[in-house]
Amino acid sequence: MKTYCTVILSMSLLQAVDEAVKMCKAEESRLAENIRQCKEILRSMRTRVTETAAAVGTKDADIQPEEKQEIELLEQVLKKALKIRSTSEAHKERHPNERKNKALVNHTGKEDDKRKLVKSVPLSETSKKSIDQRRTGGNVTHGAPWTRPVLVRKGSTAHPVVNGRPSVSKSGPARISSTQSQQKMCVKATNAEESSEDNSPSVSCQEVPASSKDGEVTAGSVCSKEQWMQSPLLPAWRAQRTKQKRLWKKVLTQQSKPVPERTKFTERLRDTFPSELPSVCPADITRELDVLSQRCLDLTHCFNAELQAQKDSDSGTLREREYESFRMLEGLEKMTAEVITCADQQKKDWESWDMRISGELCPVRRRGEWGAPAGSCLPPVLSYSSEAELRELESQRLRVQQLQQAIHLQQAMTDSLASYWSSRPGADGPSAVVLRGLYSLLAEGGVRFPSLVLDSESD
Amino acid sequence: MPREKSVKVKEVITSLCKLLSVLSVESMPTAEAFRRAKFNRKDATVDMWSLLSRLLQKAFALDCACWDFRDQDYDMQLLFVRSALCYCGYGAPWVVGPWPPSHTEEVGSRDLLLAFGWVLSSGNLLDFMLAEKVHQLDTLSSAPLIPQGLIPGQPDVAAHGPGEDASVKKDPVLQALQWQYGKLRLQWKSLLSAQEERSKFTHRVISSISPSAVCQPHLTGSHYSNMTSTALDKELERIQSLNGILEAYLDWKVHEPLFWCWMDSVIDSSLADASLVDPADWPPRERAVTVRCPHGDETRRAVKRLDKMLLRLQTELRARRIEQSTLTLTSQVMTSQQGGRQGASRLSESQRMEVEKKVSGYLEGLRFTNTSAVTSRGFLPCIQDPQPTKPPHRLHTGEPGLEVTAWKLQASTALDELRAREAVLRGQLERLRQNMRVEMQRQASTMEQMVLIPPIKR
Repeated sequence: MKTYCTVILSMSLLQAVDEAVKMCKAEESRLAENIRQCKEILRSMRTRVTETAAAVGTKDADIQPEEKQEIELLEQVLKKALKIRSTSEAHKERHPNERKNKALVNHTGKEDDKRKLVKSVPLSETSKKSIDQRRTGGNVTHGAPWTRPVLVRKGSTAHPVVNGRPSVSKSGPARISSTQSQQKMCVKATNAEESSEDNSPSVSCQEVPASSKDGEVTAGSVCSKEQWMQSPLLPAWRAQRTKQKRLWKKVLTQQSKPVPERTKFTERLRDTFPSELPSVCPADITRELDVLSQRCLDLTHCFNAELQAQKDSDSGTLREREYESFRMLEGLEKMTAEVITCADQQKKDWESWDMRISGELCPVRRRGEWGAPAGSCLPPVLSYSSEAELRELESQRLRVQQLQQAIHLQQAMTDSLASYWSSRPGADGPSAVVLRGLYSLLAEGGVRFPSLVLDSESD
Repeated sequence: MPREKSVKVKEVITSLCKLLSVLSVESMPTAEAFRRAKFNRKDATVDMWSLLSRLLQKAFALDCACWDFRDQDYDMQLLFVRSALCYCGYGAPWVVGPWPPSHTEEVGSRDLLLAFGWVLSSGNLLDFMLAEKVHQLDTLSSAPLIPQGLIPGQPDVAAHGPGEDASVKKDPVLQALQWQYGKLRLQWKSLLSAQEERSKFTHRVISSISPSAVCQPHLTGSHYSNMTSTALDKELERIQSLNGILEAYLDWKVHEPLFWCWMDSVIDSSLADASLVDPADWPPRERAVTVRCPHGDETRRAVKRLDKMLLRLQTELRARRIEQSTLTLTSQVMTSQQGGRQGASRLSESQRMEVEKKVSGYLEGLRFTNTSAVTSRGFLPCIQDPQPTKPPHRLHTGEPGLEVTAWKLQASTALDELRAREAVLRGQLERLRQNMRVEMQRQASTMEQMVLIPPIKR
């Protein structure tokens, strides 16, 4: 019978640890899911432009004959530009180039028709070469997939060409109006620098379907370098997010305002209940009892620790130590008295309820912390200043939870495993293995192990 | 005038119904059903009953295995509803009364309506459901860690008390425990690293909300044009629906006072009817065969356990105090006899103060750890504006400016509080472990043929 009891209590401890592991796993999978969602959102903020290229391909087939002349003109122009570019690249350094390019970018960014022109140019082999050149020449700051900064520099070389041929501009709009409008929307949403970035990818992508009528296939093969533009959903998402922030702040301020009609209704309804029922509800009572039980456990353990400490230095040479333990015990006693008064109150309240229900109702538990109307259960807005701060805060939160759990488990283990070595005169002490395991669990949190030297009998 | 008022009432009730339905309470009854319930019509009972039952299922969880929510068992449903209502403090006769109904039909629709009103008014259930929705729909929100989940139900485990007689043959259990504990530690480590990664990504997404941000090109990897827009699509949808919910909530808040006035009138009409029927007139039914829950006295046991623990603690403390005071008395007598050769027998004032401060600090820590942390509700992170237009509000430990402190939380303040909490908890844990070390070393020293060498402190 007795061993059964102890097995039971050990089992419940094991179950508790099991439960804790399960909860951790659940929380981790929730976090993993969240991470995946965030990654996908970040990824989907930019979309590939191959769709536009595909769209263009179909249109090109219809109107090509008209534009062929202009195409050829522009091809020549770009060939020239590329030659100039490749020579100048050798001489100048990056930064002066950047500045020059940026200036050019700004200049061309302002002019709409020129932008259109750049878009409408379908380049043929020359620009294929230029892509290669870009690829090789533009290793710059980022790794392979990201060519945006590269394209800023290289793409802008196309722009000086534009200045020289304003006449060609009028052909632009008709052809790629659909894709253009989409791009324009994005373009306008960002600053000038980015818009030029957007332009150049579209240039290089559109060239291929024009030259060869296959459209998507070649576009895909040549444009293996990622060309990105902002997703059209991005501005809408941003707008919704700012709206959410605004609404939430409003909700939080609204929520803190009291509603007198509501309290009046509650009071009136409460008056219709039998008078012996206390105003505290059973759910609150049970919660309070849990809190008090926990506090009692804390106090008990603290008391035991204090007793231990006293035994340690019971020679009493240090008056400070004595005084400290005296004060500590005094404080503990006071706190215990407080807990007892609270517990008595809760007990009384519970008994008034119990008389009515007499234990025939199911024990239920609130699914969240929605009990007290005074306290709020709405999450506040946390403003942080840097990524490091946010990271630190969230990890700190977890660490506090972990410590609380560790303390609870420590208390539980101490209580249940104390039976292993409690003074039983005459009985065998625990074996070496058991003692070692106990020591590591209880005294070192399972991290370190003691060494045991066994004095084996030599016959 | 009444016409206008009834239209207004309908509008108010519709706003509530809309809010509840976006908060995932399925198949809300119409405003008309509410009004019929006010007059205790029979045809509104079914609607009201299912509404109440569904709402309570969202609000409460059963601790016993009596009833599975999916079952169509109406009697069990009645028991659940009664238990839930009782637990949130509703004391109407049909819930707690001496003659509880045994069938759902016995409860009138007006009673159900009043119970519904109670559930909404006595706590902040709507806020809780709103918070749940926010954490569900907003990818960036930091949800409160599963309450009570990461911390095992302590009283159940330890309350069984230490076993009287331990058999040493419990090696397997101890080994299993060691194993599980190690697993738990590992789990925590991976959880912490997952959290770090998540914070990183959350920050990135937050920073791309502001229009001036250039999308950070840090993501390498695949770029499939088919799926690129769908993730943002879904996120957009989620945020849009969340905004819809927030708007419905704000709309309800505007109409709320009127709703409670109307509910007042429901009480009036119920009292008016009740005065016509004298409870004494009810035929004295025998205690109908109602379903009972076998686990109903769980709390009673918990109360008893707590009582026992407290009593024991109190007696031990008292005993110790008496012992200690006699010890000090005798030692004082001795030292006075021996001419005070133990030196300064009085502590200086500063020493006293120091000790007192240390002790009170420790005891305060004990109190502190039982309160909930400032981040216990979770939060919605947002980047601080580099140039705040108003001076930043400070979060006080007291209550002034509750309106301000309720909605805004500074990361630095929260961090400080959490760090303080961590320090206190660490101190507590260390003290417990130190206690164990000393105890076990002493025990080991009494055992023959064995020498225990504790691990080196690093």
